[in-house]
Amino acid sequence: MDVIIIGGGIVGTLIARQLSFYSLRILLLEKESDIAMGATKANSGIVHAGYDPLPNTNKAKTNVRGNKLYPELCSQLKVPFKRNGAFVLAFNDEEIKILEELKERGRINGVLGLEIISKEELLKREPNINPEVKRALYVPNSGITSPYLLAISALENAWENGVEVHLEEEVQGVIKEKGGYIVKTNKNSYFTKYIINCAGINGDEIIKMAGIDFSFEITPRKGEYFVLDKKMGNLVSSTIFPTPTPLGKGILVIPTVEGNILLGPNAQNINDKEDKTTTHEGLKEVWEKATKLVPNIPFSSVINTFAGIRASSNYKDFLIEEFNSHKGILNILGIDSPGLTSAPALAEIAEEWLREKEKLIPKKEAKKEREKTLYFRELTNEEREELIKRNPKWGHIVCRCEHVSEMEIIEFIRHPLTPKTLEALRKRLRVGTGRCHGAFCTPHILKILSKELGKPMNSFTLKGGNSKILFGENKVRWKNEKGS
Amino acid sequence: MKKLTCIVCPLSCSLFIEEKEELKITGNKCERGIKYAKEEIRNPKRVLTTTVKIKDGIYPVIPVRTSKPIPKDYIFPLLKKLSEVELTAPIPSGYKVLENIFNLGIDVITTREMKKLNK
Amino acid sequence: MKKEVDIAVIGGGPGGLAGAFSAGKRGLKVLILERGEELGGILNQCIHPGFGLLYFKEELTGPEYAERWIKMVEELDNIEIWTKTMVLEVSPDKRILAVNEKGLWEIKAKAIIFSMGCRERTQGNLAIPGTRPSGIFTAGTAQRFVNIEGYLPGEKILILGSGDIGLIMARRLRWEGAEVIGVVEKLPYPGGLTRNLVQCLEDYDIPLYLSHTVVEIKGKERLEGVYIAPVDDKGNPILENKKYISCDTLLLSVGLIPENELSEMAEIPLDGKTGGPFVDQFLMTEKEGFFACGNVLLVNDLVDYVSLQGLLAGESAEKYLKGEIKREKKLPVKINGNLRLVVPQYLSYPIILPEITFYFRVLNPKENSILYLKEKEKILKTWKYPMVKPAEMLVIKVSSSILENVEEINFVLEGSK
Repeated sequence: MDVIIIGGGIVGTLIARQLSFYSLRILLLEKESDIAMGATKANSGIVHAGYDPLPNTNKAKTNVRGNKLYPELCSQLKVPFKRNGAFVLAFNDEEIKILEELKERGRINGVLGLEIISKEELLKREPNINPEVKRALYVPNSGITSPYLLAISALENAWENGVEVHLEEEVQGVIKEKGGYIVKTNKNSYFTKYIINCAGINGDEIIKMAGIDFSFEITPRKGEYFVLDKKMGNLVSSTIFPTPTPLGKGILVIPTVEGNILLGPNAQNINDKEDKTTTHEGLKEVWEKATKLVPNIPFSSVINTFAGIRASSNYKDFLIEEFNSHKGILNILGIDSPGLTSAPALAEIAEEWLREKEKLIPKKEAKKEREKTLYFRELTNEEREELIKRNPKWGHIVCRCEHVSEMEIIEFIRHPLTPKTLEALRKRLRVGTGRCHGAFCTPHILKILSKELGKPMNSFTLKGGNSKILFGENKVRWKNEKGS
Repeated sequence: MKKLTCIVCPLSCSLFIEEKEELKITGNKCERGIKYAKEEIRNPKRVLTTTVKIKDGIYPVIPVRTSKPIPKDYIFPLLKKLSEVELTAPIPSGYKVLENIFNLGIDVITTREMKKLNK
Repeated sequence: MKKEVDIAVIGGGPGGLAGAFSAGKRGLKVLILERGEELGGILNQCIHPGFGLLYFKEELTGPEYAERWIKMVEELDNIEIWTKTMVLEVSPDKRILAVNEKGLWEIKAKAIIFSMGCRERTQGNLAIPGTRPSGIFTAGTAQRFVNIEGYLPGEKILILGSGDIGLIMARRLRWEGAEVIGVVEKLPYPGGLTRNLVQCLEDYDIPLYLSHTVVEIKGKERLEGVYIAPVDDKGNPILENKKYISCDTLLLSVGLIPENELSEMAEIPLDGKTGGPFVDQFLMTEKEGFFACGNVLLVNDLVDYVSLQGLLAGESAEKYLKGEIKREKKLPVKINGNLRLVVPQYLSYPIILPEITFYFRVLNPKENSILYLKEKEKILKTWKYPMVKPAEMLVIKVSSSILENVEEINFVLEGSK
């Protein structure tokens, strides 16, 4: 291999795509059953403007650059992106002072259009906000996207351009060799000239594995969220922030590109990197703080809760580093907020890094533009008619909440990069993510999987491993029982 | 002393039954409770509803039931028997899956029609 | 493609079947739009007995009850049945956008009967803390897997919620070979019928934990267990007293929500208490020409009531088309005392119908209760109940002559603990 990318989160997938435009042999390794399983799956989906990071940090630079790259990137990859703007709310004079500081910091970072507006102006634009608010910082460049659809589309694009992708393959050793490294996994070992370590919460372990002498530690921080029914979609149209504190950006009210509203995240330092549990105290905190920004949210509008883990580190800033002792390994780690926004800029940095080492020859046949994935719910009636004529399964709606047709499910099942799990289909198609939570469509989806792949319904899992959905057939116990 | 909850009406009386030569029932608020308790103690019966496997049908199992309530003790032996049964579609509703089970004069019948799957 | 009908019935479960039959019998051109592969709705997976005692005077299983109605509907040539057809939109001017494997349809109807049924409350609605493994199902989804697809959702099962579906599933799973380790109910009294408590739980020594709830989910991939805890009188869990129960499956039977997304699209006002549209004695919603029956109107405890509402909706739709429903005056049906909800929520005058059926649910279980029908301080009629329970609807019929000239309709339920 020329390049092995460790980690299939938003950073790894965008780097894979960026490098796929060149004649390189590239392999992306992901230890989970699907890509976008860590922070990329469970985060706020915000494309930040960049007023928040301290000037001249990696965070500030990549944030502002990333924000600029988003519209074109999402349009090439056919992923939803919306500049919905944001408001940072101040409820007292002290907070108003901080808004002024943020505005100034934004100016230094190169963020355009920041403006402090009055309560009246704010309530005109966002009438559901707590009327006790005093002022707000208006951030026109703030946006929203779907982090996992972006990662999936980026990697599918990279794969179309020749990048190899191995799921459920965990890196277990990195050994220095002449002219490169041996990467050992649970399944294989590979020689590669370059490694890009963007392994998220496990990135520090890769550093240790490679024998790099650098005191770097991921200090995972968990964030919990509520998801509200689409009926609440009109609650706010912009992303609503409280005034930040030294501890972070705080708990927000966030519209999503799908039309739901997210409340969250809180921030809790945890020891266990796998601890994606929601807690009583955490959810309570999120609810209380979110409803301080936007009061009168009925609890019955909650359709889901989840927790995600930020790969924060003791380094504070993003670590973007090739160590002298280990030339050829680029570490891009500690990618917490604004990681999603910065990811396209981080991909550019990875490309530039490689360009200094190798002559990058553009691949003629490589594509940057992808064809639009057809989602029944987004099509016009004429387009729907046309597709149903071509294949009647376009007219069979399996998911009643999100209006997903049988054909969409079949097409995704047939894509080589789609894991054959329920969660993988949920991420890609939103089947089972609506208000019924899969109660109606799960049996149908398992049936379609079973038919497509010729395996029994009870052989499928939620998310790989031991997460099976069904057990044995009815009465197996009686059948196997001895005696009459 | 045995305790039963009467299910005849929403009152749900707690019935207390003493078994001597005859059954002595207390706790009932009406006569129907006595009748219920006597049956429930002497010969409790239930309708069994379950599924059996079916080949070539639009679904892999078909629902069945006993044509009348059967003594409770026969439920699990019957389930064991039914675990060996496999029908082939098409099958009409009311089809006798097993006849005169355990010599009780009761059958197991299908409770829906199962059409053949068009392949 | 385009289509015009007299009556469009959305949903081919028991409510829709009866609605279609009733309108079809009167010679109207009816179209049933059913999203599933066959008619009958959720009845097809309710293979247990207990259906039809009121309407057919015999005890049937769900599929048998459905089959009877399906036959009645299929015998009428003026009823067209479209299965595997999803209604995407309903507009206030009675235009329906639907899709099936033949294409996209714009259907214009003179009247619409809503019979979309209900959905179950889910894990997401409950926001139970913990992990997100596989092995958590609503009772209805588990019922579908066992009764239609022939697979067990698990081997060691805990059920949250003592509603009837949960109780019935406890017995079904036990019969199919699973171990059911308990039913957990947040309220101090069970949610299901006594008959089901006795025959589904007591018969198999399945414990019922009243005033308890599930407070935490454990297990990374598949569910490994849950913590349950007692709740205080406000319903808040007492976490210090939580205890661990090992199980591979959690079934949720924690309530049903009428599925009114389409009604909302048609701008039809909903009653927060029933979760269904406000209707008058014709089961006509506040938007004329739109009717509702069955669980989309209110969550019923007996399918027979659903069928009766369907029959009434079909009959009323004809009255509406003939211009017989006038709505010259509107009187709200007030409820007080131990009553939680009522259907119909108001009466339209002239009443036309000879009698009106009222459906109630109560707030709390109480003995020796009396239901009063009052106009101001005047008692018009009374009904006596030795016992009332939230799980069981009160259903009464009132002769229209009593209500023809009143100024107020006020139902009050009083009872002792």
